[in-house]
Formats: sequence, C-alpha cells, structure tokens
Amino acid sequence: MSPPSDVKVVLLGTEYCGKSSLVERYLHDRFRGENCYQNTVGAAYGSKLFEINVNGSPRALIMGIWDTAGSERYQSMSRLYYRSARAAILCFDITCRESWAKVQFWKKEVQRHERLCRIYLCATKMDKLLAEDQADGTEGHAPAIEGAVVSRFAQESEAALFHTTRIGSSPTTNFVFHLNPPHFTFGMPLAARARARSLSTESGLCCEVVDTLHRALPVTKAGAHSDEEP
Amino acid sequence: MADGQTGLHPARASERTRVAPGGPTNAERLNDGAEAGIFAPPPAGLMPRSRPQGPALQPPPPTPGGGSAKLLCRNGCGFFGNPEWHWYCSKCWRAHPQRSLVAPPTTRSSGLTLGPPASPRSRPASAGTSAGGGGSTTRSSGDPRASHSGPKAPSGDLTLRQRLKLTPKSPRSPASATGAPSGPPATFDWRQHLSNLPHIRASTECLSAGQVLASHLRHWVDGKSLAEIWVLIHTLLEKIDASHETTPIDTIASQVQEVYLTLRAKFIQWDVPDDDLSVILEQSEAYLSLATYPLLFCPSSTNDEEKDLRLQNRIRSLNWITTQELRCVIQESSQRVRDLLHDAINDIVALDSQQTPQAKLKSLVTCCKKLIEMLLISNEKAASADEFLPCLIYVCLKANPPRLQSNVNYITRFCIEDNLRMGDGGYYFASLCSALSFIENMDAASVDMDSTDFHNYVTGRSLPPGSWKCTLLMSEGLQVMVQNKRILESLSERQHQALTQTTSLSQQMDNFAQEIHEEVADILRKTAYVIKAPRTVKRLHFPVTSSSTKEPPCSKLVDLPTPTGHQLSLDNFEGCSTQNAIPGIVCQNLQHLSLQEEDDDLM
Repeated sequence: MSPPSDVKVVLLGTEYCGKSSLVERYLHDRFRGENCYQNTVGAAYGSKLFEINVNGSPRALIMGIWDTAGSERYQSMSRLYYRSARAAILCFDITCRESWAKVQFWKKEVQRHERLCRIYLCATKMDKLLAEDQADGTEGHAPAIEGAVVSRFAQESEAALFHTTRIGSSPTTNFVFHLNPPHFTFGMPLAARARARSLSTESGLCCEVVDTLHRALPVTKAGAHSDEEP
Repeated sequence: MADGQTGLHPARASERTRVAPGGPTNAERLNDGAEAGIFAPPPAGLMPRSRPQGPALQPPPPTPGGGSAKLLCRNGCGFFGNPEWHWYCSKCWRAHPQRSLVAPPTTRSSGLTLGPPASPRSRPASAGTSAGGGGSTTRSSGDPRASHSGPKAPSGDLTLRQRLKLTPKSPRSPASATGAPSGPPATFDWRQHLSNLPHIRASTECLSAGQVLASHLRHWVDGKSLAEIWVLIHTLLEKIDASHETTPIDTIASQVQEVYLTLRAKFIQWDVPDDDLSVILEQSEAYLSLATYPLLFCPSSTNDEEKDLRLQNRIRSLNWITTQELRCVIQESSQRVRDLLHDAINDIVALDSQQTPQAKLKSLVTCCKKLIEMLLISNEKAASADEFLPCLIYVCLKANPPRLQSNVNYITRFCIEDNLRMGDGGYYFASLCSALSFIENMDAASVDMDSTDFHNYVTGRSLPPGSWKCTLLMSEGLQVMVQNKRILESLSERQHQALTQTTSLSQQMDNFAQEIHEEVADILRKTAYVIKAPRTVKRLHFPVTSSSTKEPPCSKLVDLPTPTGHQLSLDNFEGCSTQNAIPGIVCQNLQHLSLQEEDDDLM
C-alpha cells in the first residue's frame, strides 16, 4: 500500500505532554466530514492521504503518523519507531522541565541515527502560561523553560518551533509562530537555509502544527524562515 | 525509489559492506552508534544476523539485567555487543576471521552468485537472456550438485542437525535434475517448473496463489514481460531450493528483497498504477513465501528455534505480571473488554499459522485493532501509544504465542520492505518488536518493583499478592461461567417479561369481555322490544264483528307461538330488523287471511 512517496512522521516526548492529543486532534477533529483517509480508531497510528503540488504536477502523499510511548521505561525501544522517519515532532510541556530535558535527548538521538529526519519542536500547553499572564492573578504555571532558550535551541538544531494550546482553549495573539521549515527533499540531506518568509498565525491550535508541517514537507524550492513576531 | 534505498534493511546493509570491505558505510556506522547510545541492546528481531555456531566461538553467558559493561563488544572497541553476533558489535563481527568458516568459498563457486547483488536494472536482463538460450536447464542441473557438494566441503563446520537434514534429501536431487524443463521464456510454464524443484513442495495454496498472480499479471503485461517476471521469480526459487541449507539466511533474504525491488522497478517502468502495483507485489510475495515457507521459516541454519524456546520460557516466568505492573489501563472486570482480550489473544496466536508475511502482519493488525478498541471502551477516549504499548506487552505475556521470535524474524527477512516501514502493519510490527524487546529486558526497575521481589517472582519462589485475581480473570472455566450466567440472566429477564405480558394480556381479555357484556346490555336496554302486533290485529277484526256465526279467523293460528312468546325466545339477541319484522309479517299474513275470509263470506 505504498506509492513511492510515503512520509513517516514520528512523535516523541514524555508521557502526558500532549503528543497524542496532537494526533487525535489532527486526524479526528479538524478533518471530520471531509474525505479523510484514516484507518484506525485511536491515535497510536494514523495516516492521511493528501495531494501536493510539486512543480505544477499533483502528487499523492501518504503521511503516516507514529505515536510513541513516552514513558521512561520504553525509552530504549523508541528507535524502532523513528527508524527511517522523515520528520520527528518533539513535544514538550512548557511547564515541565523534565520534558524539556527529554527533548534535548531526543534531538541528539534522532539527529545521530536519522540524518534525513527533520526535527520540529512543539511546545504544548501554552494555555497554562496564559492563565498567569492575565492580570487577575489566577493560578497559572510559570514557564519552566525560558522562551529565549527554546528559540535558541530551535535555531541551533534548525528546527521549526510551534506553540500549541490545549484543545478547546481559545488561541490568542500572544502566540508566536516561528517557522523554520526545511528545504525538504526525499532522500536528500538538508540544503542551505532558504530565503525568509514570515508566517504568522492567529491560531496556535494543535492541528495547525501538523498541517503546516505537511505543507512544509514537500517544499523543494522555497524554504522559509521567520523572525519572531511580537 | 529513494525511499527504498535509504530505508536500510539490516540484511542488505550487511551485504553491502561485504561487497565493499573498505569500511563501514554511513548507515552501518549509524547502526553501531545506536547500540552504544541506547541503554539496552536492540531487539534480536530487527537485526537478524545470525550464523551457525562455529566451534571456535564461545559466547559468554548472557547477562540479563546486568550492568551495561558486560554487554560491550568482546573486541573492546567500545560499542555494544549482541548475542546474535556472539557478543561482538556488528563491525567487529563482520571483521572476525571465524566468519569465513560459516560460508565457505566452495559453495560459492558452484554457479551461485552470493556476492554483490545485481542492480535492479541489470539483473532481469541477464536472467532473461540466459534462460532464453536454455540457460535454465544448465542452472538447475548444476544446482543440485551444489547442494550435493556443499555439505561435504565444510563438513567440519556443520552441526549434526544440519547434516541430518541434508543427507536424506540429496538422493532426490539427481533424479529431478534430469527432468528440468528447458522451455523458451516466451511460454514459461511455472507449474511444471515448480514441480521439478526437488525441495519445494507446491501446496495447493501456493498453486492458487500462483494462479492469482498469473491472471493478475496477464492483465497488465504482455507475454514476453510475463515470462520475464516468471523467470525472475523462478530463478530465485531455484536458487533457494538448491542452496537454502548452505546459504546464510540473510543472504537469501537480501536476494528475495532484491527481487521485490526489481519487480517493483519493472512495474513502475511498465506504468502499472500504484494500487495495482502494491497488489501485484503482495501477490508475488505470497507466491514466493508459500513456495518456500517450509524451507525458510525457522531454518536449521539459524538458532531461531532456540531463541523461540528462550522467549517462551521467559514469558512463562513472567506470567505473574498483571496490568498494574505494566500500568496497562484496561477494565478487566468488564465482560466486553475480556471478550476483546480473548479475541486479540486468538489473533496473535493465529499469526503463527499464517504462511506469508502479509498474512502474518494482517493478523497482527487485527489483534492490535482489537486492543485499541478495548482501550477505547476502558478509557472512553482514543488510545495513544502510551496506553497501547503496555497493552500489547500484556497480551504477549498472556498469549505466549508459539514461535513468536521465529515469526518476527521471518517477517523482518521476507516481508516487502516498504510494507514494514510504512502503514499500520509497519507500526504495529514495530510495536510488537518493542514489546518483545521490553519483555526480554524487563527487570525490577522497568516495572517499578523491588528487585528481590522481582527475582523471587520470576524464579517462582513466591507469588505476588493478587496474582490470583489475574489468573481468575483469565481462567477459561470462569469465562464460561460468567458467560452462562449472563445468558441465564437474560433468559430469566425475558421469561419474567413474557409472564408479565401474559398476565396483562389475560387482563385485557377479561376487560374486553366485560366491556362487550356491558355494551350489549346497554344496547339491549336502549332498544327494548315493544309489541305492536295485537293492536293491528284488533283493528283488522273490527269491521267484521257483525258476522259472528263464523269462528274467528285467528282460531286457526291458535297453535302458533304467540308473538310475545317468540319475542321472548329472541331475548338474547340484539335487536335487529328481521326480528322486529317477524311479528310484522305474521300480522300481515293474519290480516290477509282474515280479509280473504271476509271476501269468501261476502260472495
């Protein structure tokens, strides 16, 4: 069942950091009612068929999203999952320092074993921070990781950075949408970073991440990079 | 095709480095690095590089749960070793001088190309031309000799088991070699060719798979290309048939994979659409694997069988593990969940009985989908990998599927690579490998337990508290009992319902009868009969009173029942027009009679 262009996307991150919600949201919520290609119940594995335009000619792609078990005890097995993956989404809970530490670990692992794998960072649960930003003093979590640290890390590892809120919470303009999409071609390593293209978005919803990801994946000519948007 | 090149099959990777011994490729280096970087050695299932045991190799005792220092390569290069490579790392194992004993050069000289696999483009051409000039005859007659001479040359290195397997089969080879066909490739008779291969016994499934493949192929390609494909497949079959006992299994696996790639390239060249392409590829895979399954599944040249036994014992020693230890969140008390669990166990056990990699994967996928459904029922939300993997581990522990390691190895070696890398089959297979790896390396820390407790439980010295619960839940008799109880409950419920309904029906009937009675009585009361006849009769007789000599005309009717008497006998009926009419008619008759008499009198 595999046309020549399959894209394997693997989700890595600690337990309960929201990676499963990401897939669930993407596969089951947003595209409900559309002609979606989806053959499993549950978010452990999902696949989606979509068409892209490569140099003017349409091309079918199947994106398979592989969820991994984030628990420490299954850590040693994760390599079975990210083997020959084309993209890895490293999720971390913005309020949890351990999950950030794990992201750094995964980044090294993935970059060492899968040269062709693009890395995407995804800071989840941004809504918890927002609660604190509001002046009424509601209980909110302090960010466990400085935003600057995260963006520096993202730049160093040439990774696109996304912020997402919990499902159901309303997106705000405070969310910064960095996009550093890759010059991505099948079977070829990264080329030089391309011209900057700013892409800001009002919505930091989960599904945006993967959506933007698969828009970014097939790009062969125009990569993009954006500066921070205040 | 870039995908196919980059997704490295372990077996092919090893093949490639053997071709170019200048140094490991990047990918190989990555593999080695992986073992060093990850805490536990990778599962045996995904890196099958087993070799027959040479006499000079003494593997150190395996150290489950030991420190990572003991897992290092015996060469001291700093990378991790693997029991499959006798505790060398992959690089040192390949460089090890003893390896040459395993595949002696004598077998290679007998017409077989075990060296670098031909490129996908060049191979079919050579196969086609050589078969065209009667090449297939010389090849097939040469091959049995190869298997004949094979066991003699390296006899010192073969185990007894291998030699026992070789000797009874060799007498058959020369006889069949004489009957090898030499047809031109334009009309390649695959059936006949198959029946002439000495070791391959074509089962009915295999023949039907061949037929399906043939009909499908005919739809897409012309006669010459069809023959080309058959020659390609059957050259491989011949090769496997002749040398399956002497060639390392990984070499065979890479040859098979090479054929899949060649086929794929050809179909793309012939513009077969994607969907049909994958169908045809799967059908060729089915045909190939059904033909060679007895030879290539758990072959004697590997230690798959021992690994199966080891895994089985390991799972048996862990049968006390419950869902709590695994943090597997399923509601075992729910009957629906238990039914699904049993179905899933059946599916994963059925994996062994399937004979093609695709079918095996399919039963794995069915099993996993049931698990996901089970999790969905238990948690009321979509299952993620965090919940799914423990569940799969639990099912593996409870099912203890037969020859699981062999099955995993077989799928890894002979499944079309793309199907293993992509799709839900690939995902669940990776999960299964993870589960096996977890089971093999499970220790006290990985299930959050005290290490002495864990040791005691594993060795069977003591039983964990609450283990009876799990056993009870899994017990067959209890299952049946619970099911029967459920059926009985539903029966009694239905009986009760039936009883209530009967009572209410009889009540309704009584009511109805009562109502009818009342209504009848009511109507009767309203329409009480009033006798009018006497008055009419009186009036009629009035004018003839003068002729009193005659007896009154009504005296003739004395015997008739009086209208009132008649009326009384009709009491039970509802008033209707006929009944009312009867006295009327009688009266009219009477009147008529009396009038006639009067006339007679007047005359």
